[in-house]
Amino acid sequence: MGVVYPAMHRDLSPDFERFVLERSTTLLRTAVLLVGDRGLAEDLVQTALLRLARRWRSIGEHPEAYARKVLVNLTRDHWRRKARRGVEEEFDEATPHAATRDPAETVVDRDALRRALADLPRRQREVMVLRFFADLSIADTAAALGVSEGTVKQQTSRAVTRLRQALGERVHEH
Amino acid sequence: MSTDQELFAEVRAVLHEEVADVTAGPDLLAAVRRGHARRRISRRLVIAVPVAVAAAAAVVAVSVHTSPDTTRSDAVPPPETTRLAPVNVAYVKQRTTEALDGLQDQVIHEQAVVTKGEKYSRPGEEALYERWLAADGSSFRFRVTIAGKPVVDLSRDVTADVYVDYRTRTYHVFPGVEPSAPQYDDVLTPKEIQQGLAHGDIEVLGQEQINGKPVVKLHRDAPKAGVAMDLWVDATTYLPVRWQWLQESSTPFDVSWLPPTPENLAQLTTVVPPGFTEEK
Repeated sequence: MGVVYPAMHRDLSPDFERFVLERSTTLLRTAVLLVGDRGLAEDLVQTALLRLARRWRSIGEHPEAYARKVLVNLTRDHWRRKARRGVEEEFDEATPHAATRDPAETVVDRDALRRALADLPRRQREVMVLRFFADLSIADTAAALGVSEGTVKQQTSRAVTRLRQALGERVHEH
Repeated sequence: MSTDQELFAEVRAVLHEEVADVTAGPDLLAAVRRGHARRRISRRLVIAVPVAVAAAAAVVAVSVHTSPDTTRSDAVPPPETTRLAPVNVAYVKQRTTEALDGLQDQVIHEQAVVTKGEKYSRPGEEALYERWLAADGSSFRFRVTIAGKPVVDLSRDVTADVYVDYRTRTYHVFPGVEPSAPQYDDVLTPKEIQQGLAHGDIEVLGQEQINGKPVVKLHRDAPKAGVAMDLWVDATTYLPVRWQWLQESSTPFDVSWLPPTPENLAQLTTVVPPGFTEEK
């Protein structure tokens, strides 16, 4: 067609660029924790930010909340595609690690906790990541995941039980 | 055993440790820039060529107008998420579909009062977010005002995509685009609601109340890489009266259906105030 469009049409808003610079690391870290793969996480964050860019000027909501919501949906699409391909989901149906640490220890073994978190079923891990990494409230976590607050509380409770089982004697009262 | 709070503190520490070395580099922004440019170029290739000229003319021709009073509603909490009363799903779908017929000339006005701080406002500031949509999907306008003063104002149709930033007293003019083009997921036309109901993309959840009036709650799942939304239709007229994105910190928008008077139609177009500078 031979049409030349002015460069300004390809520019992103300075507000948006500032948002990306300020918040993309947090979004990327959240994505890494959700999918467990740095490269994939970068792709998902990029897609979420592109989506946000298109709605940037008329967005009537908290942009980070929008981006995080899109990110959660993208990670779920990813897991669904993997499931369709017959690939086992890393975080589902995992058996907690047996406790092997000296019961006399009085602090949480963070390596064991890290493994236990990685072994959580995916939905439980999503809740833990959003609540304790992204520091969202129960209500905000529910909104981000598209579930009820009751479900968030239930998943948190189940995750705690599972983590305690995995840690065995590793967690003690102080 | 540790208390739950102690365990949560450890979980928090472990999660932060796990990604402490993960940093988004400048490559990410560069990639978003490239992707954005590709999408905008490809989108414009399907738009009629002369619109850029028309867009410029349209902006020159816009006239100053005053905003008619809008029905102001204070930040209304979302309906209680308690048990929904069951409804006849097929009946609601049919009535909603019928209600949306014959409204193509209407102007849909949506508004939300945000006080918790959003992109354009600080916490505690009362920001009025308003959207106007031609029911046939041909025009869309979005405006944010704080204490009666506009902050940003944009509108788009096939002739022009105009963005006015009152903070910098500047404006942009982009080539026009159909507001309900698939690239935008921020408008939902009556036709799209009808299609969603027909195809099962929008489901009927049940009946509840908003401000004491019975409404039926509908739900649209997230489109690909999008955000899901809830939608409420009046249980008598079956016209949409409220919608809300299902994401954290979202605020419900209350919906009014306005007749196509000259005053209401004028609301679909952003006016560039005299003295503002065009940003190139």
